[in-house]
Amino acid sequence: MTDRNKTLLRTAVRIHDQLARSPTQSVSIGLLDVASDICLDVARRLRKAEARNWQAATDKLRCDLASSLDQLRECAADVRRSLDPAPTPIVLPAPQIYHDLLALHQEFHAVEIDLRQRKITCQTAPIELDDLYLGPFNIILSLDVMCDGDPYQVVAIDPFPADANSNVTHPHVEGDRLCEGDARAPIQRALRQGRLFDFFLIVRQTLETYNPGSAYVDLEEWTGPRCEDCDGRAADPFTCQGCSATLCDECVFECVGCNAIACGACKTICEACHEPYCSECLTPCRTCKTSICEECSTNGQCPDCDRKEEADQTATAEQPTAGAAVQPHGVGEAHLPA
Amino acid sequence: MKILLINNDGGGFADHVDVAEGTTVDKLFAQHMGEANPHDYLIRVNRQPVHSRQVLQEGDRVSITPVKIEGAC
Repeated sequence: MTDRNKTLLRTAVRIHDQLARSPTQSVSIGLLDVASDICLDVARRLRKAEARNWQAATDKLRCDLASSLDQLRECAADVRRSLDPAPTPIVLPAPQIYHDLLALHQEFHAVEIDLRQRKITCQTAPIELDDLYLGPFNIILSLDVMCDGDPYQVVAIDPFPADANSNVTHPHVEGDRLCEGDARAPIQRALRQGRLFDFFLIVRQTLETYNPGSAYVDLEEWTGPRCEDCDGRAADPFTCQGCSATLCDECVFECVGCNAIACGACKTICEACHEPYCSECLTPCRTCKTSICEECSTNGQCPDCDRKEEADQTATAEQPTAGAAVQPHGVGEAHLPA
Repeated sequence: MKILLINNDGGGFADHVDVAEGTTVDKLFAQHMGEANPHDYLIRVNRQPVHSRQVLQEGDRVSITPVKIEGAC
């Protein structure tokens, strides 16, 4: 037997012993009381808000009530399932668990068994839903809490999260937790019986399925608009007021004069101060025709032309004084007899 | 003869069931899954993909897992 197989066998025996020691799992019926109390409380507050015509509160409480009712329904379904007679066998024998662990290596891209951390990790192939690449995922099962509420995580290896929520790496995964839906009952049953091969298969198939009716973020809304300048993602897009192009916050220019939004193509620059302006806020210098802003304009001219004109005017003003020193031809001359 | 049948559809089910000698995978599927289409399921015998005409043996472990399982939030 190879070292790897010895590890697998040791793991299988430990899992079997742990599951065999666990008391028969049952869902507490008391959870129903908690869930129904929450619903009644929200319903009471909703009635109050409606009676007082508080529109915003009414809208929020309607959503809260819908969510509370969903939780109550889920809780009722759990309790209902727990009332079914337990199927046999309750826990697979250790050799069966060992064969499950062996088979995982054939079924998944990569399998890692960390006995120190007491975790088994299986890596899926890259997942693509409706042509949207979401990358491979690690399914990490914590052996210590296999029958508890949160026994595994689903972690994106090469995440491509939704623009609207960076915690959502898959339409049914938020913050490393899979929203199981139809997979919930078979996952719980597989874990309680030690059917690890089935557990990992069920989670993988759930990741490979898109349920548009109940996703954290719909695939259609996965990527927000693209920036038309850099082609990057524009999470909070701006619109160029010149050409209506969609822009990201990196590519947007704001006119210093009127705060208008402009793209790289519609943006103009004052050739005197080099600040960005929209074309409406620039005027041509009346002399050299370069575009200048109001701040840089003096008598309709750019600073260069204005300085030049001023220098010319000064020179012109000084010219008559210099000319007076020169006597006209013949003035002041006396005719002398030859 | 007895085999272990695991159906991961719906609530999940795993139990030993009696099957007649010579039962094939597709026959077992039809017996337990009714009108369902086998192409919509991953069918494994002893954790391996198999041909639908494979004849089952005593003690086989047959698992039927939907290809599509809908998560929900």
